[in-house]
Amino acid sequence: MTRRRPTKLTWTGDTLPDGRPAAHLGDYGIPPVTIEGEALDALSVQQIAIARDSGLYRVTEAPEPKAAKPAKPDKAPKATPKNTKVRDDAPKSTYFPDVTDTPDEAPNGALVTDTPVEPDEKGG
Amino acid sequence: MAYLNVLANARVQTKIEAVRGTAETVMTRNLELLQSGFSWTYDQARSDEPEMLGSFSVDRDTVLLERSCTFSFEARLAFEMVPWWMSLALKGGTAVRTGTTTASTPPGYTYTITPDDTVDNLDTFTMKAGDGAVAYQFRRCVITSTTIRASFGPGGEATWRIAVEGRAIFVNTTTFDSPAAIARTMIRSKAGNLVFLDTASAIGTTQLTGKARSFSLTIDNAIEDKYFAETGLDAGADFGRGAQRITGEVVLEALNDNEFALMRANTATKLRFQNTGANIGATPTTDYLQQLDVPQAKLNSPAMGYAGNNRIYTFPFIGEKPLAAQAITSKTVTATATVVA
Repeated sequence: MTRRRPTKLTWTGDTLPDGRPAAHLGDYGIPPVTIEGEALDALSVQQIAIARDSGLYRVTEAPEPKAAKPAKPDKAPKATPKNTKVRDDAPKSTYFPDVTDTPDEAPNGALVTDTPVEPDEKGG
Repeated sequence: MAYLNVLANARVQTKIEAVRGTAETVMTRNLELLQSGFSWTYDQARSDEPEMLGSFSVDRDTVLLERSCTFSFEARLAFEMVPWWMSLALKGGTAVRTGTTTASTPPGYTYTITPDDTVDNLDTFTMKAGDGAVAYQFRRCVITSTTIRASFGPGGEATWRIAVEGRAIFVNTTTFDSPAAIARTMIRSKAGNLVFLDTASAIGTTQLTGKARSFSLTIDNAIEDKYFAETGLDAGADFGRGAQRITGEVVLEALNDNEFALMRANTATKLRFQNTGANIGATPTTDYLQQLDVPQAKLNSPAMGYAGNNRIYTFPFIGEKPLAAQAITSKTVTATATVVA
């Protein structure tokens, strides 16, 4: 989400007894004073980001515009089934897959099934 | 497109590390070094012993060795910067960078820094250095030696200077941050300076009047990188700290034999180099102040020469550790309550 431009940057930095700011952002073209109005409009997005991050200004933003209330959605049936509990016999890890259900393999590579194969009547 | 790899774009940003060797992400200060006062090296040798390859070509499958980085700084010295530098050179920790109020109006803040001689608590910092074209990040930047100097004579440097050498661990390329500039009050070389030399009396009692021309003071911590099996190419986050030595040099007008006699007799002296700046507040009167105290300095044999028409002695000295005290103390008074890491 893009941050909105502030309406005022209030200078909160410390000032030394001789009048100098103890820390400032003058190197970035941001004066050590409270900035609003045209002076604020003149600041770039980057300058405002620097001012925000510096901790030397209190940032005032315009209040959020009131968004139109969305219409109440119709009651839809719950998509999620009530019982989502994981079965105890579900495999716990994919690293060691449950191999008990895979068919056995004959030494010659053919699959061994429980159903006996009927001999071909014509064969012999 | 404009060239960005220019000196005017060069900058060094830093932040003192909360955990030694762990890089900080966002830098908190620009180090205002002299434009010609920054350099760094990337040292990584290549193993290229000639092999018998059965031809006049002898190099194949050469391999890089471990790497290390060094850096050097030179900067004008401001009162506000002294606690920052001293937390790297003498004693680390947040408390070192937190001043004690002088209770004046407006208040000044005193930073008194004395090294711990049994604890290795030097601070390290993360650094981003480069220009508009490319910037590099370094971590565990540690200062091996620090020299503070001032020349009170005509011409030359208008402020006290600091020169620093250190070691760092290379991280990678990076992008710069946008830290606030921090107010600086320069320690002037041509105003407010006093040099004191005492023997029996307390430090800071006897001023060298009409004598002191310049001084330099060096703090050397003899830092050494360490490499372990798990650290690979780069040095470990910690380092081997050596013995701390305080040495220096003071140039005195050869008006009499006083200081030379102290040297010949091996008499312990108390040296204080001091600058007083502008007023900060009243009741009590509080001014910007920098004092570098060497409470047990031994003068070494002088080099004799001339500065213009006058004969001078250049006395090297060493700061010994007094019993139940430390070899050096730095005291700074500024108008800011804390020093940003």
